Amino acid sequence: MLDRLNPPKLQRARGRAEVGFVQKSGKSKLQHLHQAGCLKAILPNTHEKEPEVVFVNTAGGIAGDDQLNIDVSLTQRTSATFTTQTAERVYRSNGGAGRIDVKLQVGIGASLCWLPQETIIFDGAHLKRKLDVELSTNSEILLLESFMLGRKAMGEQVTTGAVNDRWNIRRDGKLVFAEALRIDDVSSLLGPAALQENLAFATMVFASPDAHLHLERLRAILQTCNARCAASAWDGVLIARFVAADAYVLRKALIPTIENFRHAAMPRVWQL
Amino acid sequence: MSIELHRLISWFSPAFPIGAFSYSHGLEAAIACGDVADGATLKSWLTHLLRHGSGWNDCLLIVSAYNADAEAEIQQLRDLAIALSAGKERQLESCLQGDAFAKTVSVVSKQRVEGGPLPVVVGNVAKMQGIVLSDLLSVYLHAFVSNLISAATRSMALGQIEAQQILAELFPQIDDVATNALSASLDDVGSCSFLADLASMQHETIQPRQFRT
Repeated sequence: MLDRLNPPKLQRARGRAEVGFVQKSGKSKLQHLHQAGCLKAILPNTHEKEPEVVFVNTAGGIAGDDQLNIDVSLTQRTSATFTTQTAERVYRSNGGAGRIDVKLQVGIGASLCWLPQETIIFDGAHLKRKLDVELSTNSEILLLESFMLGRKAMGEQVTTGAVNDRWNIRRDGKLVFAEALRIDDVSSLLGPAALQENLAFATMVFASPDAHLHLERLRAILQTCNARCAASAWDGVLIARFVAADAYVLRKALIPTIENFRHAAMPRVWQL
Repeated sequence: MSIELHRLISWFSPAFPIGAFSYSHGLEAAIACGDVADGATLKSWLTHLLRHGSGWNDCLLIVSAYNADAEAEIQQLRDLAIALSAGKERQLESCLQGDAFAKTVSVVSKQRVEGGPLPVVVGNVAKMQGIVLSDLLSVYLHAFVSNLISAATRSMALGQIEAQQILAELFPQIDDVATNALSASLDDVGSCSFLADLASMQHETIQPRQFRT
């Protein structure tokens, strides 16, 4: 009986990764690296000019009450691309939310690409994620986040769960873009304003002083996409949204879109 | 009836010159691509926007603007409302209506009102003019839904009687969302209206079009 009054405290995953780059003789060089718990940051050798960082969650996914923190700092005129080694799996929660907090600081004239692989939401998952971006004058960020509800090929169906994903992009302290994804009733997603039969969705944001000038170019790229997608822009912000039947169709749309838009290859970990 | 209630009804009557009739919130594009094809899909589309879309988020912005103590807070809410836009047309729809609303209220009430995104302007003005918050939320959502149903009757095969049936069926949903918003905070802002958001962005390029959004 006493056991029930004091349920055993389950072991929960904690992970923290901090990565900072500075500019040295015209190149972005790693200045700060801190890894703790289940999060690792790997810097593979690539043929690209800019460094690439791959985050690895060695816990193999996220369960209720897990907590991951990522802090990235790019100082003046540096550029780097960040991704994840695999899709992040968010498993059924026994209670609390699994939490991911990401802070990205982009210094004057710096350029950051945030291209993690998709987040897979399993039945009963509870995820609370925050992504805070601080941009300085003339800095830019390209940000892509994609979600998948269950793995269709594995016959998985998501019928319950909660997802709360909040992004805030500030430039010199002023909020310029906010995304607030909130799913608290999975059954409502079948409707015509939500997803219908689709299970995958993504949002891409490019924030740069001249971002809106790329709207027509992005629209032309999107015309070749098989997923449902559209682009829009206003001062300094360019966005595209995607809805697709499953993760495969979504990836098939995202990879060429991002590659054509950036004129650069996707990080090697991204495969169809 | 109180003067305040008269005021509230006038603000959200189709005669109030904010041009509501010219915006479809992306519904025109949702109809064009077939997502919304009949009364049932229209009702489902609207219900989702109320509960898990811009209807819900607007309510939270109204509540926060109503309860704000300082101009700095209102300015932050304006920034948030603009930053949260699904796309440019949603932003225009909210800001142009908010500016028109502020302009008319300023003249009618002889009290200077700042423009901005509609829910922030409305929440701010309502507090100054003694409107009951719960009434405001329900009437705001009622006008929002009613305007979109009217847009639907002009864009698809939907009779005026069926349109009123759908509106009446949504009354409980409207009050439910308004009640929930009263006890919520900005931490609860969020939506999952993916295809409706997409439609509002697709609307920017569809031809022909009779609505501005």
